Amino acid sequence: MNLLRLVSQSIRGRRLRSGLVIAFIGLLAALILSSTLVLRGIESGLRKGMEKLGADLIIVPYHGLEPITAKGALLTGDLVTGYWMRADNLEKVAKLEGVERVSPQIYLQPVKGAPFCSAEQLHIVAFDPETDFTIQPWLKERLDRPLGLWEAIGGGSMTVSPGTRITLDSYQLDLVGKLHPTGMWLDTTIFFSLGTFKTMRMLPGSSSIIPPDMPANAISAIVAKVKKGYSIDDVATAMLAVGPVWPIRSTELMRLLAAQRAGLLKMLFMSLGITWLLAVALTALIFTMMVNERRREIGMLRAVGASRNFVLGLFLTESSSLAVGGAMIGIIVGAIAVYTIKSWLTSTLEVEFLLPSLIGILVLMVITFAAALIVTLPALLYPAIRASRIDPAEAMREV
Amino acid sequence: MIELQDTTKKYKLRRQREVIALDNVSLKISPGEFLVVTGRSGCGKTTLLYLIAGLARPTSGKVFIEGTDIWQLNDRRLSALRKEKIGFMFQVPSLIPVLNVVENVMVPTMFTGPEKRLDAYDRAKKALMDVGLSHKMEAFPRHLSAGEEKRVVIARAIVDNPPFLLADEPTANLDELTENEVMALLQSIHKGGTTIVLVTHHPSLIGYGTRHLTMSDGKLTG
Repeated sequence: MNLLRLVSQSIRGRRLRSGLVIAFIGLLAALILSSTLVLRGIESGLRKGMEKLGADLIIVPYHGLEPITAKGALLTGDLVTGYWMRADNLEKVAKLEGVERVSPQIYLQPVKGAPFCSAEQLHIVAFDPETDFTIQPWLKERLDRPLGLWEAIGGGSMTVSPGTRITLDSYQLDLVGKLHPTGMWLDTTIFFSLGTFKTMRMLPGSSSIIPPDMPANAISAIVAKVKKGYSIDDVATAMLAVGPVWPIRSTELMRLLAAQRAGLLKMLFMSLGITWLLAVALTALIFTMMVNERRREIGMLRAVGASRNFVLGLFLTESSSLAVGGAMIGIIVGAIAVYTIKSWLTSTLEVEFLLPSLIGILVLMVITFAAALIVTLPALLYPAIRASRIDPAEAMREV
Repeated sequence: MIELQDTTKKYKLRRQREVIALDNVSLKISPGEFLVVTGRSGCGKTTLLYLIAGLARPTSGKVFIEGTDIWQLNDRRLSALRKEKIGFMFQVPSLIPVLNVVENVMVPTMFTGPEKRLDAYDRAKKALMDVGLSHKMEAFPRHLSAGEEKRVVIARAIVDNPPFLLADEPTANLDELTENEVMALLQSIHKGGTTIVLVTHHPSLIGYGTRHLTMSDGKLTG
């Protein structure tokens, strides 16, 4: 007979209480791990999305718009439509020192209530497949050839499968691919080539997606990549000399995305905090009840030679064993839960969801394990200290 | 030798009220004695045992066990002294419900040195044989009768052969036959050289002792 045997028998002999403690601490660990994995997954997905966009700078026409509005517009696709700049700005920007490559984009009139898209408003973008470096990487994942005439690729909110012929205004387009959700304007956008756009313009009759006041040789935006070794800020400043344009840095977009996610983060942290408080309070309550129901046992142990430290060690070992067990089970359950709801999260949050690497997950598991134990420590410590201070004579009298 | 010098124990009740459980008691218990203390319920008998065992601190006065003023010791040393010198039989059930009989008897051996722990199981087995319960070693407390439970408590108290055995109402709630069995067991332990202090409200147990004292309102009388 030793302390560990006494602890293991106590845990096995009091199954309901042990099960409840394991469940509470497990729930806490599962929540810590799953919310961390979800946040990191969304973060990584957005980061990947931004990296794939590939542009260090996006140059939009300057029409007195607040810069932040313009930035927001790039996330949602709104407002940029209807503002144009001359196509020769493309050449001017390309010639600036430090600019590696440029590509034009045209944002057409959005369509409301498109039958093949779940979003309320569908954005339409024409791009140049020959110079583009922002849409192409996404395309490569879905289509192993350049986008042909009258072919389109849609964002994550498309409700029809690739291979479907869709009607956009009066135009028939073949949807040849669907992009991963990104959480950005790409999701609610349909893309086709500048060649398709030019053909559309040449067709007789009016079009609701091509603004009637759109000048010839006009573009909506220029995406630019800065050469290695050059400062994005310096190149952006140099662009202001090109004309009435406003360069937006991709890093600013990341900051905006982070701000957009602040609400989600706040909600997750609040629910985590409430769960922690509940888990700690309930665990402390159960352990306190455990100490109370075992006062006679404590009195007896003290009478046969147990010191206060032994009683403290006994209850700490017992409660921490349960906490370790609960945290381990919770971590496994949390990880399985995140894997299980991964696709649901992607479709619900409409963002790409990327889990960390295996090593990253293992590190997170270890951190979660430590965090779960640290946060439950007050719940374990207080009843154990109380147990060690019980007066044996009074304990034996009271019961 | 156990000695109490002018020992008083007061318990604090609610609203600053106090109750004197033991009132200026002085007592010497020599090795080999079988002291029976009788008295009505609430007269302070259990408190007397708790003070001797070092389970309750006297409000005033001193308690000596084999010359050591036990309340001069720190908790670790007092616990060690309790372990080494005293076996205790509580009036209330005190077996750990999740341990079987032999494990319950082995509980005091947890606090002995590693060399003594080696044969703990054998000693527990022998103690259970001595109390006639070797066939119940694997049973759990919930499966024992009141008499069997008392005998397990005796086995636990003697497993390390302490020189003193303190018994608080050892025959409470037992039928006459079982009472006789338990007392016969205590007598045989006494004959083996253990000093016993037994407190009871049962005058019929006086005959088992070598000395008898009566307790009334926290005071000892001859």
